[in-house]
This record gives sequence, structure tokens and C-alpha cells, in this order.
Amino acid sequence: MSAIETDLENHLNSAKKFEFNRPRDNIFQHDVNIEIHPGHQRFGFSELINSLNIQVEALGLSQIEKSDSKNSNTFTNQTSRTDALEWTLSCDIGSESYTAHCSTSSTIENVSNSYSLFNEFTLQASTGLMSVHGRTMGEPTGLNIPFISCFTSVLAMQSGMASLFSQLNGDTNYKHCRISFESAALVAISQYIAGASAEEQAESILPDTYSATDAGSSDDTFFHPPFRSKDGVIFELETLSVEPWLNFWLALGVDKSVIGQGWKSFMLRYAKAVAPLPSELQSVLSRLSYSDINMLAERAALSICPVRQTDAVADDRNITPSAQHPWRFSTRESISAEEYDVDTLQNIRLATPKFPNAIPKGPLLGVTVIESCRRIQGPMASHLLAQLGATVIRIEPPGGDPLRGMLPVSNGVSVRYDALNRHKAILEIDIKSTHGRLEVLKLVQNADVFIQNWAPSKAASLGLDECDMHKVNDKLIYVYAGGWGKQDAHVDLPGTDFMVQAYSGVADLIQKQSSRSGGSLFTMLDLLGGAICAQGVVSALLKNRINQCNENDGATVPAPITRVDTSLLDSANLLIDVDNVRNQQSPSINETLLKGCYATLKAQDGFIAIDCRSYNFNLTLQFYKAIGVGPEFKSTLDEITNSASYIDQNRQSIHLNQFNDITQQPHSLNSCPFKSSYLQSQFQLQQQVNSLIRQETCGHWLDRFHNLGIAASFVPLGLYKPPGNETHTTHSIRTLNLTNKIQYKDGYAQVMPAWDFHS
Amino acid sequence: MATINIPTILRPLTQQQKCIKLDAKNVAELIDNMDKQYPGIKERIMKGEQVHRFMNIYINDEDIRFSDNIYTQLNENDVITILPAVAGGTI
Repeated sequence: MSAIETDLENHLNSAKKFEFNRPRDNIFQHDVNIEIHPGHQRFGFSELINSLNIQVEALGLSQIEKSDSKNSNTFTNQTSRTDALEWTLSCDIGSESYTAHCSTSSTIENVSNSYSLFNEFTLQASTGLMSVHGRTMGEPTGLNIPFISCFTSVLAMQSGMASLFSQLNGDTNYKHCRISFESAALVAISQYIAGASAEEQAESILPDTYSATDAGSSDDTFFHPPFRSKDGVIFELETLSVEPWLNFWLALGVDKSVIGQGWKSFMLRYAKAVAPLPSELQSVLSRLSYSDINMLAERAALSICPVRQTDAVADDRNITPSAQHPWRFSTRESISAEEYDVDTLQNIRLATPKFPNAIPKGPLLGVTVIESCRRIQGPMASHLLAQLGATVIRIEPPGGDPLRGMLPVSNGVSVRYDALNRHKAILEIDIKSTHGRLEVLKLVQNADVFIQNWAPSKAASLGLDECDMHKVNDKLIYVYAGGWGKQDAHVDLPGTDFMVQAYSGVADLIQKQSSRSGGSLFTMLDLLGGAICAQGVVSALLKNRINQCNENDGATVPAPITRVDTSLLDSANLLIDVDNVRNQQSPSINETLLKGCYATLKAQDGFIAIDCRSYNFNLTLQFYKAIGVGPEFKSTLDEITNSASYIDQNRQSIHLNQFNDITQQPHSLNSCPFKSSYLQSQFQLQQQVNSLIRQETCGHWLDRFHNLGIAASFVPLGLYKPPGNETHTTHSIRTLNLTNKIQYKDGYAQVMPAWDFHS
Repeated sequence: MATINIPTILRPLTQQQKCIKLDAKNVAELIDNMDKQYPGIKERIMKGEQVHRFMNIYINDEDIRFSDNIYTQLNENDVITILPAVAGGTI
């Protein structure tokens, strides 16, 4: 250690210990108002509005009723579409008012005032999310949770707050912001789009069926996680190093080469959303009870988590939203300035970071973010901040992040890696070394935000926790994008996407409406976790700026926000509304009557998805007529109407799974609570529907459904080829009016910022 | 002679060569021989006598950790692929 380093080390260690954080809830109380334009309550927006409301409550925004608003003409000058959800965020500093005008819509313009031509289900289809989630099932499959609505609401809120932030900095170029569900969804699946567009070794957005060869199975069969015990417990296994995996399966007598084949698939599941494992692995587990498997996993240091039922999650008050908002903000007591004055750091020389050629312009211009994160959640957070105009410097280990080499690669860099990191300057620092630690401290000295997603307690062991950083920069917002949030100390499991899905109830909700057990191998919690982390940063920046402005105006203000905590579990809670999860266990049979049967239909040239969540029986009948169901089914269609009242009256006594079993397996009709003649003909009707849909193209059916006001969509399946190399997928991007949101550059399809700002 | 596929992040050490050919009895010897030809590469692949946790080495698609690790024997015409590991979450 050099003399300079020793001096600095001594100085840092001798500085006064800081007091504990003071948590700050509802940080915007009385500061920022939100006004949502009334009259836009169509079905397609309901889940977005629900998610916005959770954010409004968690952040303490004051909701203005239109009649009470002093800006009641807020929306009169808007030029945006009439079918968009419009809302404003506003704040007053002294006599000045600042307003961000926000608009959220689908790119599909509504032609009918009665129905939306989109909803969460068709959005998942049209944007490709259904194809990514469906990879393990071999066909496009919807997620039974409002991922796109929730992701869009978080991005929409952060654009509004970033707009206010820039206005308080005197910049009026970002007063209006628009976002569409579709553009937000593309950002969420941007890594998969990158993978589907690379110049070499591209993977279709919905790959062809995986063969047993991919799994390395000796008997030509394979399965995807999760796993199942002899006594029927569904569970996830997790490890990020090979030894626990090897030791666990060796203890179960599995051949080493089979274990190796399994590992290769298992570790790539985060990138590929599939993990074809040799069936031998499931076979040995099927002979053991969960408690025996649990014991063996513990011995091998392999993490294990059962897929918790939603009722168990609802009973677990530790993780309900009332106990845990998506964001935890905290402040520090102010400490005299000289304690931070570390002249010695001036003698530390930093390499010049390599800045990318094109950095997006946006409302966070002038904000500097330092990121020390790996994999998805943290990099997504600072990717969004970079897309909002912040300068992001990313710390990577010497030699660069190993993920730079992950296939597929274009121009020597992994396109998946580049999709989340292309806007950042890179600085290679060995953060475990003494000098590296000082380089990090030097770097944060002039930064506004530091984001890390290290394992719990690693920050303290590196000497890079918030105390260390606040000694060199007391204004720094220290951000931790973790796994379990407040539960870090109580949940002894690695905080990874699939473990949190299993623990939080997300996996159970997904499996309730899926042909397979467990959650999704689409890394939805990492992605939403990144978005809420970015939202936490923007909130803290705005709050601190409001404080500054009020202080300049002569007001007494609270201490600034200096820490933000978010986690994967927080994103799960935002996604599934745990408080109401019990109600989601018994969905209306009315709503699900078509869900299992017609979620996606195969047309002549691809798949289409039909709105199955907002269906009513009137629309159902129109649907059948639209596709030309024959007169021989007239009595069946009549019975659909008649059965509607029967189903409504007996809703409580009919279990959804029972109904799905019946519709999918007509031989079980004998045990059916409905009239068997109805179900028998219903099954035959399904067969005819499938046959009729196959006879025409997707475009033919979509025109017909849209004219009737039925939400329906293409499902992209293939590669995202650049213009001139038309594929079904690029065609669907054009149909969605999203061509300006995808740019072919550096050898792959780059997803552009979801927002559009103007003055 | 074995063929070694070099990942992008190690190519600055191999004068940007995507693949190189070398003779060796086993993986340990192969990495030593690589380091003689391209100094510094061993340090990037191994820590002491073990392969870095985030590096995977395959011989003809077989992960060496499920054979005899760095002492896995090499045969004429084997293809060795070095790949960085992938995982998610916060760990």
C-alpha cells in the first residue's frame, strides 16, 4: 500500500461513525401532485391505473380531484390521442408552478368507444413477451400477471418525475412525455430481441422445439425446471457455482456426464428462458420426498425453495405490500463538512472511462451515475437512467465483464450484454484490491448516484458501504438493488429471479393458468426490479432538487435522501398485489371460459392471440359468428348463453382447474358439473374453431376481430431481421407502429428509449 | 493438436485470434502452454490451481468439471471452448 493509500485508509477509518439511517416513507407528501384525467377507464388501462395507484400511495403523491384542481384546464391543450391515458405531475416552488404532462397509450389506435383493442393479454402477444415466456412450452403462452402494465406504469411515472426534475433545473425541453405499452414492453425484452437479431447465431424469439439432444438426455426426454418431489411438492433449485450442483446430484447417484449436461442448460436459463434438463434428473427426484430432497440440498449447499401457494404468501405478513413498499428511502443526519474533506483522494489517478459514441439526450442530463452491478437487475436500472439522459460510468472487473463473451456476439461483444450496457462508459477496476477501492471512492466523489447489486454484506466487507462513500461525498444517493429487500436478514436463499418468483407467489399465479408447473424462465423480476430501482433513483433526485429549490426560496427543508433500497421481492409485490392475491385464486369462470381454449390460435401463417380476459358472452357469440362457425353449432351457441347464467350462479363451487381439465380432456366429462352434452359440443366447437382459423391468415382474422371490437394480436415468432429482410416478426413490429423504437446498429436490433419527450 | 476457441474478452491477449492450436496432454498443460505463447492468459482463466468460478471450459461440448477438471486428458483433434459463465439475480 502506498503512503497516500495508507493516509487515506487511516483517515477513513478514524472518521466519526455515522448514525443509523432514518427511513423516509411517502417522500413526496405535499410536494408533488398527480392528476389523472377522468374518463379514460377502459379495460386495457385498468391494470396500469392499479399499478400507478400503488406507486402514488407508496411515494406519497397528493392526488388532485379535477374539481379541486387549480389547474383544471391542465388537459385542454393536449394534442395527444383521445384514447390515451393522460395525467400530470406538478409541484409548486414559491409562486412558480411546474407541470409534467404525461400520456400513456397503446400504439394500436382504438376505433371503438366501447372496447379496447388491446389489453395485457394481447400486449404480451404482440410484443413478443408471450413468445419468450412460451419457450419452455413450445408455443406462445400468456403470463397470468400484468407484467407489461406494471412495467409501463413504472416507466411512465419515472418519465414524469424526470420531466419535473429537468424543469426545476431550468430545462423546458422535456415538459411532455409519452409512452406506449408496446415501447415499454420492447425495453423489457430488449435482451431477447438482441438475441433474435444478431448477425451470427441468432435465436428466434420463439425457438423451435428443443430436442432431447439439447438436454443431453440419454433416453431422449427432457424437462425444464422447476422440479417435483415424490409427494408432489414443486420446487426450484439454485446455485451460481458448480460444486453444490455436482455434489447434490452425485449424492443422488446421477452419472457425472448427465450432471454436466444439466449444468450447461441450468446456468443458461437466465439468458435463454429455457433450460432443457436430462429427464434422469427429475426421475431420481420423483423417488424422494421433499423433506429428503431438502436435506440433501442442504448438505450440498444447494439452495432450494418450494413454489409457495398464494394463500401461504397472503398469510405471510412479512412480505405483503403494507409491510413493504417498492422503495425504501432514507436520510442521514447532517455532519460537518470537514469530515468529508478527503484531500488525499485527489492523488488517486483514474483511467479515462471509454464513453460510447452516442449517448441519449434526456431530462436527467447532467446527472452522473456510477454502477457496480452484474447481470440484469442493476444494469437494467442504470440503462434506464442512461436512456433518460444520465451519464453512467460502469465499473467492471479487470478484463471486462465476463458476460461480454456470452453468445450470440456481434462485433466482438455479446448482444445481450450490449443491449443493457451500450450507453455506459466502462472503467475496469479491481474493487477487491485496496487501490481499486480508493479508485471507486474517487469516482463517487463527484457523482450523484452509486448503484450496486452485490450480495448482502459484501459492501461492508469491501469497505464500500454507504458510510464509506458518504465520507467522500455526503450528497451521494447510495442505491442497493437487492434480492429480498427488508427480508434480506430473514430469507436464507440467494436473491435470484426464480427463487423470488417461487417464494413470492408469482410462480404460483403463473402456474395456475399454465400448462406447466412453476413460474417463468423469462427473468421478469430482474427486469421490473431494474425499473423500480431506476424509479427510486429518479424519485430521490427529484425530492432532493425540490428541497434545494425550497431552501433557496427561504424554506426550512428536511435532510436529503441519501439511500434508496429496492429488491426483486419488491418488484414481485408490485406485480401481484399480494394483499388481493386470495381473490385471484378463483377467477370468474366467465372470464376463463375461453382462456384455456383460445389463448393462442394457429392461423395459416402464424399465431394470433385473442383477448380472453375481458370476454363477455355477447362478444363470445360475435367471435364464433366472425369466424364462421357452422349452423350445426347453433344449439351449442344457444347453450353458451344459457350456461352463462348457470356458471355465474355456481361459480364458487366450480374449481378452475377442474374446468380446464374438462375442456382439455373430454374423456373426463363424466365427472363434470355441467351438462355433459354442452361440454361435449363445446369441445367439438373448439375443434371447428381451430380448423377454421387455420384456413386464413393472421391479417385476415385480425381485421375481422378488430372490426367487431375484439382485442386480438399477432404473435411474433421468428428473427428480428433488419428492414429489407422481412420476417413475420419484423412485420408485426411494423404493424404495431414500433419501427422507430428499433434501430439496427452494431450488428443487432437495439431497442430505443420507451419515452418520447417534447417541450 | 487441440483447437482452442478463445472468447472475446481474452482475445486482446491472443492478438485477436479467435482460435489457436496447441499440443498438450491435459487441460492444465494446455493452459500452461497457452500462457507461454500468450503471457497473462492463465491468470485470466485460473486462480491458483483452479479455474475461475466464472469461467467454463468445454472439451468437445463436455464441461471439464464433470470429468477430471483440469486433469482431463486431451486427444488429437479435440476442440476446447472457453466460455464465461452466465447467471442472474443479485449474488
